[in-house]
Amino acid sequence: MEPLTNNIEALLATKDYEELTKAERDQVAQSCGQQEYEQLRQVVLSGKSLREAPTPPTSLKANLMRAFRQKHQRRNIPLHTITLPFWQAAAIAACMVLMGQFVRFGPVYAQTPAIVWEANDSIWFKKVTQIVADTALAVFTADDQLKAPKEGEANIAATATAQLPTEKMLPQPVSDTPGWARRSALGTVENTPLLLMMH
Amino acid sequence: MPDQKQSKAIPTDEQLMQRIQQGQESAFNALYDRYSQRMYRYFYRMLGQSAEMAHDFTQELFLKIIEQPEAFDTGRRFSTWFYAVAGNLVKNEYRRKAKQPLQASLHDANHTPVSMAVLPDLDAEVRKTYIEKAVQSLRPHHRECFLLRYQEGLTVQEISEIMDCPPGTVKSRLHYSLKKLNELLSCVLGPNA
Repeated sequence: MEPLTNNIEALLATKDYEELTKAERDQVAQSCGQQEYEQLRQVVLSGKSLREAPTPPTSLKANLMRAFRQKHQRRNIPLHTITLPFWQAAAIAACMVLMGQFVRFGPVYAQTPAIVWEANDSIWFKKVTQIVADTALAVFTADDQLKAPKEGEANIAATATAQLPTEKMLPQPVSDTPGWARRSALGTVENTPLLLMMH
Repeated sequence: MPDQKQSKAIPTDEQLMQRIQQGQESAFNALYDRYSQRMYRYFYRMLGQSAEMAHDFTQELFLKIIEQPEAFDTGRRFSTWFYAVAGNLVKNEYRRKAKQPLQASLHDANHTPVSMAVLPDLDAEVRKTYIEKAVQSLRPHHRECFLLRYQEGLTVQEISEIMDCPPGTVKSRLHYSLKKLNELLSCVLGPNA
């Protein structure tokens, strides 16, 4: 069967015969003739009349919306599909920075110690000084006895401590005590520790 | 400018599908409102004018969007894709039934004892019934072409994409269905009808 030409089919879909121009009527005359055109046009219009049809029940929509909710509640949405406005992303970043600061320094109330010892409390100061001095004495004396230099070896401790105020402390032994600990306990000539000075 | 504003305010079908893929319920709601009537009508005509089947198939069609929204490529035209999916559902149903639906109803109607002289005086409802039966009597491919073109108002090109066949085939099917309906409805659609 010969298909309708593009033009005739388009005319049938849009125009009655009376609405055709002279050129279009000529085309129709060559293709199918006025009578057949009008009949086919009626058929086309009958097809358009079929647009009046029953409507879907409202329960259908309710069912589908429920199904949609159930589906997307348990669905993991891929991260790459999430789009955020810039201001929201910036707000989230700012919140994270603030949270980081909070974790690092703790809340404001935590910065104040529960017990504050005053530095000018002479009794406390004296006791602590005594404890440090006694401890240093005990450690270095014991250490000195254990690791006394043999004859002929350089007594490094003696050399090192020669310049110290020996009237206030025992000679510094050779020991494995870390330098920082020794300096804290005994100090140096130029920088004699405060606690031992008090002692 | 007003067109631009309007296009921003009213999202396209493809944009709605994109949002559905992201799980937006409002987008699905909008898409349903746009297409439910059309698809229900399409199924109703293609499946022997059964409201029950139209309901079931419309539900199944929209469930496909809910279950697998990624199946739609947002670079494509949504309406074409959607009608193609609907057409496949109908084809599957035909295969399942393994028979051509409702072929003889119009011929039965023609052989009813109604006098031909009375037909032009038929009221609109009866006339519509005749038209519906005549359309139902077409072969499925011809009926689909006819309904998509004249009931749904799609272009020949769109129909060729939906039915996955060349535009020439669509035109040929349209011509055949018009001629056939003209024969069947000549007594109902005459100038005095």
